[in-house]
Amino acid sequence: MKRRRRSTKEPNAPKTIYFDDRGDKRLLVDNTILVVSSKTMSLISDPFKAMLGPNGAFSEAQPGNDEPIPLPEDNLDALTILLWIAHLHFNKVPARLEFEELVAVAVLTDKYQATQMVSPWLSGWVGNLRGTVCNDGYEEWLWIAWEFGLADIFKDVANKLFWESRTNANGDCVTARGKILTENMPPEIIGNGVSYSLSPSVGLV
Amino acid sequence: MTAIPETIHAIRESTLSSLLNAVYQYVEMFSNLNEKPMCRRGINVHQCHSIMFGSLVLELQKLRLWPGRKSPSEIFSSLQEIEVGLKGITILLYPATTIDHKHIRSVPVDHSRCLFTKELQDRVNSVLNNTATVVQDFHTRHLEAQNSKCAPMV
Repeated sequence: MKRRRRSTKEPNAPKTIYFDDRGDKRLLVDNTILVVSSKTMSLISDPFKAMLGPNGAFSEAQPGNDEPIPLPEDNLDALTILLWIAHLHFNKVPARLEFEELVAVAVLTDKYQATQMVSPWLSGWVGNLRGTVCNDGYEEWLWIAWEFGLADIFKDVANKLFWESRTNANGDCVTARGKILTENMPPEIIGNGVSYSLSPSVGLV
Repeated sequence: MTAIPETIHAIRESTLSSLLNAVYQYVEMFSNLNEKPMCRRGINVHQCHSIMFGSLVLELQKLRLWPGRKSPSEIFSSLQEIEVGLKGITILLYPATTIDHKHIRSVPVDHSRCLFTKELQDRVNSVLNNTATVVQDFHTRHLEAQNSKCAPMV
């Protein structure tokens, strides 16, 4: 199984990455075709199984349909990492990630319930970036910590946000840099207008 | 289930409310004519009271907490900024003087013990030390569940 890219003269033709030379499904992300094995993908998680299976929601995944399955919301680099892992190309998985890449990976592992799959690499990815946890502009650590069960980091970031966040005229919580707190955060910790229930405690977490 | 931004907002409002109560209590004590003056020396009482009250109000004005009592929803600053601001309040003292005691000797009169800033700082600390936790039980349960998927972890 080799990673191959189609050379073409058409300027807007999508490039192709083969995760399996004999892959039977094609995904389309950011004008890139990702050739994958539906069997392998279905072993990763139920969402992939549902997406690529014959009874899935995508008409492109149905037998006889050769169209690629569009995934317009997915981050290409993050999905590529997940697919290298899923198809056992471990040598292609980066040992270090940029912060934005780690956030994108966390978003996708949450979306596709693939958290466990990346666990062998988490130590390196998180350890390399750990010094940025309480830096301004790195509030998405809350999402990373939430997704990968990093309780200490979650508490540190939540506490920092509690102390340092301000409010704007609309009553939104905003970060020290003025970013609204609900942006780029996982839905589970943003919530949807549920009532407040405060647990009293002695001291701050 | 309470979301993080909502939890932060709710605890922030309740903490701000307690902090504002602590500081406005002094404004009320100073401005209530039925209360006895805040001077503890008993000499130049009204001058001491007026100087401390005036400097308190000016300091609150600098922090945008005056004129008029503010509600938590009117405060846009962070809790950290409010904490630093309240703990940094500087109250002016009536200058030390001497009085002629029974025509025998001069006695120095120092109003430093009229100061209430230490008491105010203690109240601020007490409020902040008893703040509810941002991380709720359901957060902890979720983090434990996710961590078990990723073990061994960092």
